[in-house]
Amino acid sequence: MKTMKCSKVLKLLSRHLDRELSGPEQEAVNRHLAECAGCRQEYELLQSEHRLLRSVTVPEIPPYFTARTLARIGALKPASLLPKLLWQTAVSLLVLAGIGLGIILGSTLATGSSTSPELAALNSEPTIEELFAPGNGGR
Amino acid sequence: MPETELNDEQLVLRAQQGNLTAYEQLVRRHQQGLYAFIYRMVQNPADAEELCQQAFVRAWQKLAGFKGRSSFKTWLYQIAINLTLNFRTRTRKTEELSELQPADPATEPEADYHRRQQEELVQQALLQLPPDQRTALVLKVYENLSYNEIARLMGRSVRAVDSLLVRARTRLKTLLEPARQRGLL
Ligand SMILES: [Zn+2]
Repeated sequence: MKTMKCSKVLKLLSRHLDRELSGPEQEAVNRHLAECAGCRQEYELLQSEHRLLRSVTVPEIPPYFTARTLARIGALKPASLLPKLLWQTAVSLLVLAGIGLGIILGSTLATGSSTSPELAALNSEPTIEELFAPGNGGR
Repeated sequence: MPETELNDEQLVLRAQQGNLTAYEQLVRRHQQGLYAFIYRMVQNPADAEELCQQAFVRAWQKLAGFKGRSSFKTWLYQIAINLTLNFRTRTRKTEELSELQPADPATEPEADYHRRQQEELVQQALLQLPPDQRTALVLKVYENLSYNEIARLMGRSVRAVDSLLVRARTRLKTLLEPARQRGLL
């Protein structure tokens, strides 16, 4: 059988490297590479490029990645992501918080001070995880 | 049953009902792999973290629409690929490359410096590739996916993936040629 042309082989080397050729194609390329130094050199270059790429390392994922990601999810608008039931829970919790705020507002007005740490704490909304984490399990 | 013992499919079902603890488990399971993939695409730790977070946030937002026709991982990578393809990578100028911090013999052995320089050269060459070529190459070289799988992930034909890989490798060879000539690789 006549061996494949160099131009054809060169086009197949990338697929050859990736083991994506059909059986007969792979055989033909192997036969050609055994005989042709030029194509063999090209193939070796391709292999060394592949090894070089593989040798590049990746840094570890930053610590707290999970926590930061979940915090971001928690900061999303609840209505867009939570099923109705949970959303209703959130609303009732906020209502409770509102009542608490009213009480504190009332007492701070009575004492004449304009800011209080409790008030600041009530104004910062709880994150979704804080609201719904079932006992923080799974860790 | 604790979340750690559930498979992805079971976790997805729970997460779809709003169970964030189940989703947290999915994040923990896939974050290192996804981060590595994105890092190879953008070659910058801060950008990689940001895009990786965005991918998980977007996946959570779109989870209701996930019908389980592919694995969760495949679906997640599809989201990440779309994000990174739309992201402008920060390429450094080639002059900066030669200004790589020289080795301090006291703290860094020559071999380590050489290795670091080599990695830097390869990373910069990767960044010079058009995004779709880079995506195909990263999925092939580091994720070791078949052309068929890459084609599905990228929404392209197998033939197109083949062509992307041929062009990526040819371009990479040209880009790395000067460094090779100087004996740096
Ligand atoms: Zn030949």
